[in-house]
Amino acid sequence: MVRNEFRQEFVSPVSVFFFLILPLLFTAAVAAGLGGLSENGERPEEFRAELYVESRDEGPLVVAFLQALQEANLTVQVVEALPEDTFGLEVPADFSARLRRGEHVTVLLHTLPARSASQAVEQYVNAAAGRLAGAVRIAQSGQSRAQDAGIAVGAEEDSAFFDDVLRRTLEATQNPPAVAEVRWPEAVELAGTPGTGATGVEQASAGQMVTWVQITLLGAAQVLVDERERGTLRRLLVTPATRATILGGKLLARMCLGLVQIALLLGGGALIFGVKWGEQPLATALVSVAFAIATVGLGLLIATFVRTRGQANSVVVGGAMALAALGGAWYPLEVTPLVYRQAVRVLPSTWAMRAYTDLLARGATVADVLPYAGILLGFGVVFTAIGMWRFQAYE
Amino acid sequence: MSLVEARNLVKRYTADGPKAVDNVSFEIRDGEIFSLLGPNGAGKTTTISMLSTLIRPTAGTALVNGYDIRTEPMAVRRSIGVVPQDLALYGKLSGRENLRFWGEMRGLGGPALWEEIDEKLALMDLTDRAGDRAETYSGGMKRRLNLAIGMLGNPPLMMLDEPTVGIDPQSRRHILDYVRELNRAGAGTLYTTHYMEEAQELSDRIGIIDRGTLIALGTLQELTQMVGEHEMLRLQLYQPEAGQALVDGVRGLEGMHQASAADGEVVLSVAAVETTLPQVLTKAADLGLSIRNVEIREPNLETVFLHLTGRALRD
Repeated sequence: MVRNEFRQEFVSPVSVFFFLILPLLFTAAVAAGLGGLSENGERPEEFRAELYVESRDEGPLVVAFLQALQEANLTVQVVEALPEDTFGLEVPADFSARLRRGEHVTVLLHTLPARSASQAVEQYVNAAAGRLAGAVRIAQSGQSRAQDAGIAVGAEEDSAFFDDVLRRTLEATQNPPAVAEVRWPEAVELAGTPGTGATGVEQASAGQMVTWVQITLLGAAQVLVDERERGTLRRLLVTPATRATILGGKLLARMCLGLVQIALLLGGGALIFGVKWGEQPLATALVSVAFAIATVGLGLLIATFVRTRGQANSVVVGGAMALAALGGAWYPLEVTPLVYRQAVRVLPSTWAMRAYTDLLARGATVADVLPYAGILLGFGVVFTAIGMWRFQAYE
Repeated sequence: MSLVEARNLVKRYTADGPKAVDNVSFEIRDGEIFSLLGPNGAGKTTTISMLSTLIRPTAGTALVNGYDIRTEPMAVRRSIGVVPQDLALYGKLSGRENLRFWGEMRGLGGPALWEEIDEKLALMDLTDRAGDRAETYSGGMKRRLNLAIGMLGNPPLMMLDEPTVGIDPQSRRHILDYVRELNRAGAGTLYTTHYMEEAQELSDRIGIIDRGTLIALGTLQELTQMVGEHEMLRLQLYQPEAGQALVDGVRGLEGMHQASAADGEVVLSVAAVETTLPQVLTKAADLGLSIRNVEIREPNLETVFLHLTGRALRD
């Protein structure tokens, strides 16, 4: 039965175009498009924006501020005048003096809204300013307590004491002794931390693979309709093979097709685009098999609802595209709101994408991807069980 | 031994729907060709679907080759060959590949299967085109391949569901010859058709089915004797749409037993042609109708169907 399906699938050279060539072309196109998100193919966590600073103040707190900016993932360049079309920061002349007195002070950030990095630069500057402001507050408070206790006397000693507390506070906040590790409710939520996603080409390779393989795997929905419309289903059902065997054979064939396509697209991704798919072969295979089982199961379930080939085609292509888009195959889920990320957990494509991007971006091992594979297999068992149950009642 | 013993088979497709098959019982004896004859929608395909275990009866059961269709469906399937009404082929596979696939699905394999495939291809005159995709075959060739697939494994009972629908007379002739050949080789056959001529030509015994009910059963001779001395008159009109008007006009005539109009023809069952025909012609003239052709036939299955139902087989 598997051989029969393969023969029918590849009877025309056009099939190879849709099976392999078109997905690779889309991978190239999408990788080029996503390049902007990851700045020349670098991972988001490696990204450092260049920030030009025009400061009319040369006081000690400006130096501390520049240091904090530098430590907040910005490459700081101090200039006389801000150049055009760059991220720029204007620091007023009384920055140190006002901050020292505990007064409110404003710095002016020039952003570039058209650049995807604008939001990140704004966050980095805010983080550095907040860190400095906090350190200044702590230093002032410490100085005040020292004065009350008579530890530091005289303006010069006071100032030295302030600078010392400020320096120590900034150091402490750069390397805090206690770190809060953020965890999502599910143990499997490895992804989703902003700034740890895949590069553009990795996202494109994984995303396009999931998209196109889903079309092949969900094609299980067409198999029964095709057999029904061709008249062969009735004949199959009166052969000495159980319905489970017939269905199992059909699904196994579809799964094998999907796995062959995955292997080809992974190979294509590695050879043509340099994506490092081969680093965790066992983990990749595990995720792929689980993804294939889940999606073929969904295809079977759909098959028991659709009545015509036209319906099946629409549902397969539309469904595969929708699942891919919602599940993060077309853009990183990290750019979506938390509520969205939580909502799309009901889709197998979401878990497949998380697993594949973890494999690429974080070098996830078999142990790391086991929870993803477990969830995908769970989807597969549920979909297949309902589909089989409905198929048994087919007349 | 009986090949089939159908006992009070009933099928409803929905719980409160009409009975597609209603209390049908019959027997097919060893080596016999048994035809189920009836118009479209009579319940022939539903009956064959139950006997081949494709669908479960709502009530009743049947033994096929000694196996109960309800409790031993796998054994039933192993012992039968089914030729469905619709072509059941993979168009993108060659004729040989189709035979191989379906042979393997029946649990056949190895050199024995290869030999049998060659034998069936030769029997169906398909050897020259065995390597071509089935979708490139003519309608008749596809029908022959469809039949060859059903014959794989040489099962003791063949179930053929209207195997000649929609094909040219020459291919039909071929298929009828193959069925007879099968029978000579010892296979029993359940053959459904709505063509009276096929049932008359092929069958050892015939069951006439209408609206889900088996209304008559017997040999051709036994069935035609049911009609008694009635003969059949078949009239073709130049005004085919006026057939029903003529039927209404002749119903009360002396010696008129049954009258029916279908497909532009009027079919009459009469006691004595020589007395009734002139009256019919007069009535047609009174109605302003012109007779194109008159055919007088000895009692046949169509007469029987008309006699039993008041309708022509093609109604």
